[in-house]
Amino acid sequence: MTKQLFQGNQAITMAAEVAGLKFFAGYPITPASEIIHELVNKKHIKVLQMEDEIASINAIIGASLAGLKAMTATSGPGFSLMQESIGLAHMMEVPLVIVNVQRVGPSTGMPTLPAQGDVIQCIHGSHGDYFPIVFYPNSVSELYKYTIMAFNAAEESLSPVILLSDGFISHLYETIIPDRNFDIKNRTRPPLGAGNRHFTGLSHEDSVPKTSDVDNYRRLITRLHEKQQLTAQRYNYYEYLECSKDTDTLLISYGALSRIAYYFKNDFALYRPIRLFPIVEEIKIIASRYKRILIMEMNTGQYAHEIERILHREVEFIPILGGCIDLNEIKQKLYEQRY
Amino acid sequence: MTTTTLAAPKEQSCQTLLASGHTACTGCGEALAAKLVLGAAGPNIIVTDATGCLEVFTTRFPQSSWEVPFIHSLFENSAAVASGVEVALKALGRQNEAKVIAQGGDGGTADIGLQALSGMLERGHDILYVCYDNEAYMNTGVQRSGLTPFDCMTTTSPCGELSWGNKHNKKDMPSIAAAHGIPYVATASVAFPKDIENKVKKALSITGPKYMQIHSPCPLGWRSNPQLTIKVAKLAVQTGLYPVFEMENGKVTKVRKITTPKTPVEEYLKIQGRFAHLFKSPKGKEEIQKIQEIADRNIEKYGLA
Repeated sequence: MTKQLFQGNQAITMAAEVAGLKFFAGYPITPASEIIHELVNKKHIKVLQMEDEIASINAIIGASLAGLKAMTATSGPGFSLMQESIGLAHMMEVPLVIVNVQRVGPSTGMPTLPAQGDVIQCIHGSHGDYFPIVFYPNSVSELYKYTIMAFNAAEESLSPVILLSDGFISHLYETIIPDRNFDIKNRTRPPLGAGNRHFTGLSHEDSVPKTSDVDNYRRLITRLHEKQQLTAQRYNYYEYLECSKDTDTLLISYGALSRIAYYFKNDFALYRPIRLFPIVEEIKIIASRYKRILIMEMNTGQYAHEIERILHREVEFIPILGGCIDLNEIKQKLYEQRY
Repeated sequence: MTTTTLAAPKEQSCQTLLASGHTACTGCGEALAAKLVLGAAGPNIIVTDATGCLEVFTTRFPQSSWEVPFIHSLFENSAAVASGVEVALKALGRQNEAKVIAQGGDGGTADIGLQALSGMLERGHDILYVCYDNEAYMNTGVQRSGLTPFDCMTTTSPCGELSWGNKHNKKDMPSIAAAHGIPYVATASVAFPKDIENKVKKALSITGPKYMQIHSPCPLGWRSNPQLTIKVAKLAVQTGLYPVFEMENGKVTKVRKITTPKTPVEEYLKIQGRFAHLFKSPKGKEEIQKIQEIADRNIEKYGLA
């Protein structure tokens, strides 16, 4: 197969098609709009442009329950609007893929510039406890691969899986080989349409609401948690580069920012989570080899706090804010941090 | 080709409160409409504006074109933010100091902002809501909206083997607004600047919620010649595709008559790239006929002839 030049958002749509996407609902938003522009021209995928992001996520919930593999794509503001229904999809166990091409927030922020400010929103944006699987690739070919992984993980876990991207990698053009030889997971649960079926966002057992049974609620949450952990274990994706020199520092970064981290591979050991959540357990073993953990991300420390929590130790943190990834600035910050 | 040059509105009657130097495209209808609305409303106003072209091109750092108090809300909440402003003014006993004007584009009004607008109209706030209707999401790359006309080509309603463009009819927003039982609803067009001014002044003299929708050509999204913005807008009215009228307490009280014999819709469609696909194959004739029927229905419904 030959290499072809594609934009990040384009790669997502091609991969989604390979993964079996049949229904897309979305709403225009920079920098994710190219996804709906591409999909609307594909013959075998139903595309609805909805009146807002709330409608978009709810339409894909409906379509997914009715039996189609479904996806939506948005950016921060739209992702915020979707939060209530993301909780609903977790409670009703609806397989979905939600693409969030991050831009600088909060609010309208800097719509055309990349950020990584939605990291915590992915896992705590909706109310209550839920345990989403989140992937965050860092190149066009990875966007392609992990879009397919996201669909598979969604089907296996029967839950909405989040594919994070950012304004940088989604608008990046790179050559990729659009491989179609992936093992595609298909729906195991029968679609709506036959017999008495009940789906609800209420606490339930065997789909029947049980709104004041404490023990049942505890069982339900435990089951959902275990199910997510179990599925996630099959998608233990991360990148770890040991340093050729002797170093005591592990530099953690992900997404767009991790591309610049490669520049420092001769000075630091590098770690890049691809499955952002649940946090890959291997980080504990890897981190134990290093005295210093340095995290750089395009927010004010969202993932750093999570890593601290997991490792039970202090980490150093470098925020790269405002959508600007500048090598000189990062160099200065990385080496200054030392003293 | 004859070009219609814009007869500049007599500006003695209105101030310029939307400063020049903003970054609207050449021939932008929305910029003109907003300037006329502000000018007619005068300086004692507080405006809110939903995310969209208008907000983007008027507020490029380090300048702002707004010479009145201005709140950029989100995409879906211009009417709700304005509701809060209006109630606060009342609570402070300052309602006589400023009128509140909420603004949005067609997407921010008819799609994502419809819920907030409906609430604002229902609760009876003393607010003028202005929808600048350029018939698609121009700011994010020309996607269709609820106010995109039938068979119009956009990035999310492309034309091709299986499609003539937008499959759905333009949402009848003025009637939806009027159905809330509000005192004043009006449509207008940038082709008739004096009419916009008169309607804004009249609306602001009425207490209660008011809705106004202004047809504002977008040369970029409509793929029309920027020189022809006013001509395009005028033809939309003349063909009956964009009826210009006033509704008071649910009844149509005034319409802008079209010249007879009526102008065929082809005249309007053929000067815009967004309808060019209708002229490329013989089957397009049938589609144009459907659009003509929409115009004819408008002419009959509003008594435009």
